[in-house]
Amino acid sequence: MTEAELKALMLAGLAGDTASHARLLAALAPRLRAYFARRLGTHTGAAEDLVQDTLLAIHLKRGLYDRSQPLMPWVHAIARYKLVDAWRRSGRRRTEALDEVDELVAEDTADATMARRDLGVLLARLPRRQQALLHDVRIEGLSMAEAADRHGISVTAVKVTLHRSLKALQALVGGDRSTSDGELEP
Amino acid sequence: MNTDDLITILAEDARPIRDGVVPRRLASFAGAGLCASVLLMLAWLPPRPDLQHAVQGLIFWEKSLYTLSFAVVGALAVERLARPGGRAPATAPAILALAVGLMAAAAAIGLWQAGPELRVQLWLGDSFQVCSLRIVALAVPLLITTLAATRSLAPTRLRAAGAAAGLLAGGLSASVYALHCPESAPAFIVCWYSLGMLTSAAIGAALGPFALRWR
Repeated sequence: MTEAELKALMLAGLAGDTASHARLLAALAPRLRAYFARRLGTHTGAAEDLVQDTLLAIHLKRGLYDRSQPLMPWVHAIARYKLVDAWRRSGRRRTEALDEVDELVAEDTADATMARRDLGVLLARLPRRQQALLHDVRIEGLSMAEAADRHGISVTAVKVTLHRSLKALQALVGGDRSTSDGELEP
Repeated sequence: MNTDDLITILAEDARPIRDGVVPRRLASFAGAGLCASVLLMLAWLPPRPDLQHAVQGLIFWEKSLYTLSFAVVGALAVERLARPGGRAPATAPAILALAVGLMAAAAAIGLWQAGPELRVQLWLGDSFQVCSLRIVALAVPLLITTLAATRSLAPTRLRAAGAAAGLLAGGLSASVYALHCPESAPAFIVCWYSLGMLTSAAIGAALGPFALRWR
């Protein structure tokens, strides 16, 4: 369903059409489920709680939707707020760092050749094991388990190494070469 | 609960919604805060003795226009920031800059025309020690109601929304304080009135991330 179709359902719902409102919420639920599942690692009960919490907020706050604006940014802002709020309440703001690796890995598959070439230049600056793992997972597209097999280390070790090398890469991209904790070869 | 069941329940609850929820909520809460602020001032500070005369002059209205422009900017910004994903409109900082620029220009002209021995008097007036603090004190009831109104909506940029609510509160409280304060030099107003109003905005920004969390 497109933005225009979803927005039309929202507007009809605001006018009191319960069937349109139900169709809107039913259409948003799987999108929210994917959004939260991606950010909370796997499809857990926590993700489904957030789906329900967000649907409830969308319903209760629909009077705050500005009818001249697109709908999905509004929905996204609520979902993001609920996600951050959930992290804050469970007191693990930034411990999702390891999960983030999977997400970054997954998102990189869509990158263009240009980015791949840049990555090659940057990869050359990393320690050999990090280079090899990044190459296997990010460029060749191996899963974490396959990469772990190939290098004879645990999946956790793969995650930790990838996380370190992504941080190091981030520092390189940011032009900050001094904060790499000696993980980079000279 | 099953998510599909939840959707069914929510859909049955879908009544028609009138447009304009946000401005109505903000106006009613800010109105209540304004009444409280006026009552607080009347109980604490007398209106300026020459008020009846002053409202016929230009200076009183220039001053009020200045403080009200801060309130308008705060209101425009919080009207957007109280909604999910809302951002302050681009016109908000422009209006603020225009108001401050005009008052600063008037202050510069006033100071330039005055003799060197009078300049400090124009800037400090008779009440610079208390002016900003009193504006902040009169802003307290307004801060409570504007923050409560914002929280009852659904802000997602809590610090910015708090700052905007605080600016609205500060602009209104400075306008209330002008009913008491007889200072008229632009150099005084652009410094001490602005300081009071911006302090109110800073308090709102500091409280925002805690006070504006909604569920």
